[in-house]
Amino acid sequence: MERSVALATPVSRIADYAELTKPRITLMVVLTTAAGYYLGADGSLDLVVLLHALLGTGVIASAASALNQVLERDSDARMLRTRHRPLPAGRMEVPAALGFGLVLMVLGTLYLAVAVNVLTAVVGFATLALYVGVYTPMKRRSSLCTIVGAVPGALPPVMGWTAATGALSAEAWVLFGVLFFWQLPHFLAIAWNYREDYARGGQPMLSVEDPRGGSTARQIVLYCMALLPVSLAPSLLSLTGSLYFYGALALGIAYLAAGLHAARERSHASAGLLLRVSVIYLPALLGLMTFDKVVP
Amino acid sequence: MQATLFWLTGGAFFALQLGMLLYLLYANPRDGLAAPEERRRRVEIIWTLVPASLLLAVICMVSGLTGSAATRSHACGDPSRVVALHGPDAARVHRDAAR
Repeated sequence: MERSVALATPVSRIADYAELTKPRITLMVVLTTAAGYYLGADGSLDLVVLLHALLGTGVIASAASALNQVLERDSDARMLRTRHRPLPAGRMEVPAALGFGLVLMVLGTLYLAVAVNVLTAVVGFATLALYVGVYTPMKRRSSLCTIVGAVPGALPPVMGWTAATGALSAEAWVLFGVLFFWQLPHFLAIAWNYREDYARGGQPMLSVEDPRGGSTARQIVLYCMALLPVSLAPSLLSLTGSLYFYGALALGIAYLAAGLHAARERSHASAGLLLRVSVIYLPALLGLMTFDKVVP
Repeated sequence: MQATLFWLTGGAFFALQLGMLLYLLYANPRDGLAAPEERRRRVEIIWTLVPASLLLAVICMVSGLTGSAATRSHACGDPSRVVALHGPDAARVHRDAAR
């Protein structure tokens, strides 16, 4: 019995460190970075640089998640959704998590600067700084944190683009716009369904500040509307072709329809549907983008 | 066709966002609002201002890029590029020229 506990402890310790990195979010970050790189690359892909970019970006995303959990450990302990995380559950000490996050931050930034380019490292560090230094503390003060948090959330494809091109061009900002606008209805749907949990955690999300849901409903529709034309822009910039354009149009209409439905119903089910549509929307859109990329 | 759809959706949705912003700023009765409600109203104005301004920025950027590519083709005096720069490849030629 004692031996099995002794064997299980390092494994569970590793699992806790892995949980600290929020693997699903990190995977999402890595995938959007890969899409940005592919879209930015001229002709043949440099797979070595791509792998360096993905590794460095993944390490920075993991660092951001770890440091975020250090700062939010008290509110995480009050929320049903997050109270089982390693820090609020007491399975990990704060200095260990903090040290882990800081080491990953330094390693990720240096790795990107050396193995990819300085611009990508700068964008990567800015992403982390915004997420940890601005978004995380703001979560306790204002619902506007959702908008601020969408900025670092939209930067990974920009990092992919800068890794491939070494420059911040208009196309990179269009990719940023797509990711930025996509996130708001997605997170507002989550915030609606978990509004009681967020209130318990002391986080004044839009759905917490306005319990009747009028503001949340209006903003879901406004951001879905803004996403539609922005998602069409890559074809106007000759980054993608006609297949992408009409696919993005159809996806954008579906997302807007789900947003309008959620705004009208203001129910758990309709917000859940919007969330599911958003989860299908993004991979489908990025898949179309990469499939129908116009090769210069 | 693609450009028309972009301008139509971009223009219409920007107009709706602007309308919502003006409603929040002027039409919504402000007098007698309690402090938390007034604060909520201000927060929603910022929520509304962000997509409207970012959408406008993207529209201007797309307009600037496709427009400047066409202008540059005339300035260069290269008739072979004029067709490309007025067609769907306008932005790509502009991008290549910038590299």
